[in-house]
Amino acid sequence: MIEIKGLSKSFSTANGTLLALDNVNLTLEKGELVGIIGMSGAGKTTLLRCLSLLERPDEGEIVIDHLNLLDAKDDRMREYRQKIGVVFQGNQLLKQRNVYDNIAFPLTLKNRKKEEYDVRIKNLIELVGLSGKEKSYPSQLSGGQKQRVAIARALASEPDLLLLDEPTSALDSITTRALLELLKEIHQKTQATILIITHELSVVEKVCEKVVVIDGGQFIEEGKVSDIFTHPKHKTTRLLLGMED
Amino acid sequence: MTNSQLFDLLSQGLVDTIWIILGSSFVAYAFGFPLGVLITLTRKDGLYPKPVLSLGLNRVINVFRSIPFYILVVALMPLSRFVVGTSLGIKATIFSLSVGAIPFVARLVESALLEVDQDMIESVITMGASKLQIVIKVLLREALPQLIQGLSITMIMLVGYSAMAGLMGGGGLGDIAIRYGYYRYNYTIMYYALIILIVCVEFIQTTIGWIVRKIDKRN
Repeated sequence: MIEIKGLSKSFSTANGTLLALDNVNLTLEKGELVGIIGMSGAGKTTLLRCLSLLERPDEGEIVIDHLNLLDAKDDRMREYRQKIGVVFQGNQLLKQRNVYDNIAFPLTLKNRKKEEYDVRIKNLIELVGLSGKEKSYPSQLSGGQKQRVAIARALASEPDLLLLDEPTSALDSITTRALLELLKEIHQKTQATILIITHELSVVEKVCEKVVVIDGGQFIEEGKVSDIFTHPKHKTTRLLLGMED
Repeated sequence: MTNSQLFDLLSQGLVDTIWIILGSSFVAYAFGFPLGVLITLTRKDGLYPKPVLSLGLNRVINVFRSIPFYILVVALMPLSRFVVGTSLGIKATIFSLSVGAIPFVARLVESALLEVDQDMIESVITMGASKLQIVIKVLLREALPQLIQGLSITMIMLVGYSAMAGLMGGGGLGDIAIRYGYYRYNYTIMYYALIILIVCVEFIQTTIGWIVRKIDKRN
């Protein structure tokens, strides 16, 4: 179980203090696939940066297996970071390393030997449908293939949570569909807990079971995708769904 | 001057020039490379922000970079006598070229490292990489093609500067071109020296260019 408790984060800007995250709470059961949807400026990026432990929230806790990840000091922090696998929007693969080495990279950081992880990496490459591309470099891959590598890499250290930031924003519609299918498949096969942060309705609609709507740094609505999308309560949700303009 | 004397003179000049380039590149990188890494890491947006140190180092580098090279060589003469025991010949030239090139190398290394994508570094941080791992496994590794390209730029610059050091009896082909060509109007020797210098530059550029293309996987 992963719990996000009372997460708040503010930034000081030229126009005063901006409350980017305002006391957000969320509980993810093991194996859940949840989408967080919101418009630009809703606080998605800040949430992502807090959850990936790149940014320290002012308040709140991120609890995995009764451990508050934010309690950690430097050394533990590195260990905790491996509990969360993150797939960013773009430009994240190591350009001087091939597909295999990119995916194995998180494990080489732990000084694991190749014999220990070789099978696992090969399975991951197969899982994301990139067999035969092991020796290719990122520059030789398409946008969709790069995202597949990033997903496999995020899964390499067997994280408790797979966090995806706008995973399809740079992809065309056909590639997007294929990638979403892949995500579903990964979810079924690995039973990983997955959180997708996006502004695209179709992403949530196609793959997520649960959806959380974020607006003004707050979670304004939360529930099963089928419920929320057919009976949105909040104005912003209706806006997102195109029911109001 | 007989042909064999000419040959001896020029081949000695070439050997001297090669030593000057290799020696001064080596020393310049031995100090300039760590310095370049240091000024990158201590920037305020770097991995180890150290504003005061960063400001100090950048000031010193800029001061050295703004001194015209020829003046620097003259200014370094007394120091050269003290450090390598002489202010003439190859040793003195290597000393002054190295000192002159250190800040240059530091800037080249810095600009190569700064080209590494910030998003990529952040994604590696989320994988639990330590700062040292980021420096070695990401920064230096990803910037390797540019770093080697920088070596080529440095060496070619040093070919030019070594010729300038020749003005002060620094040894090498530049020295020969000036002594025979400029002072004694022996243009044949000067042009021979010139051609060999051009070949040196071409050689450095093509060899290193080939290595860079071999290891650069970005395109």
